[in-house]
Amino acid sequence: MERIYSPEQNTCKLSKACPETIAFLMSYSKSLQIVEYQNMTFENNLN
Amino acid sequence: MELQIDDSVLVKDYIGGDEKALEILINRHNQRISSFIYSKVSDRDVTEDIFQDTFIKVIKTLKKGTYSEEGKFLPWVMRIAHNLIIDHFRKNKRMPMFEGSDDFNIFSVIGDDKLNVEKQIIKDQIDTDLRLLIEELPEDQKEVLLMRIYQDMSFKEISENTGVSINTALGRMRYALINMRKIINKHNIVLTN
Repeated sequence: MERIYSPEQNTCKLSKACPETIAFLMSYSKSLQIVEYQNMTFENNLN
Repeated sequence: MELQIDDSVLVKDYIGGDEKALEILINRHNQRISSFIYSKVSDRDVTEDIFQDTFIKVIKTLKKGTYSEEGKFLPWVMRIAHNLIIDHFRKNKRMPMFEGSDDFNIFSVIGDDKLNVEKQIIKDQIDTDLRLLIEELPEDQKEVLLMRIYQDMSFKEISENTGVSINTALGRMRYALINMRKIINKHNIVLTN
């Protein structure tokens, strides 16, 4: 039986967020401080 | 066999301050959420943006403590992504984006005549240096130069304001420029942009 292989096997890439985006999200998470004071919420980004 | 920690446990750990738990959650659902977004928007860059915004919302909600764990972390994140995709299309409908092709680039017709930051800084420095140079001029020349250059007055107006003839005003302006050049040459000042 004939075996057919596509010459372009890597053209179908699965969509995935790049490592830079994940690194950004991790840094964002570490820097974000949420403080509640008298029914008010303050978001601080401590970079 | 790899032991998989449940999403709900990771969420609880993250709320408790374990940043690593978030990384595991993001990596675990990265492909699923990215593919979902990409299937709707068909653009890798927009997918990255929406993915990022989705997790920014997730992080904020978890840190605020308003997330109620019902064992549905992924469906909840997918719902946030879904809403952001809708926002993206709404925004694009209001402000349609025009993308230039290889044959025609819109920026070749519409230019931005603003200076870039570096050139703006240089210009500001030159303006400041010029003001200092002008201060060195004799009072009568300085007066004419300021009126002409900074107040954009005509020589007729200058002559009326200073009480001298137009020719005198012209002469003072000429000497002001000559004197400024002399000061520049004497002190080797470089004024360029």
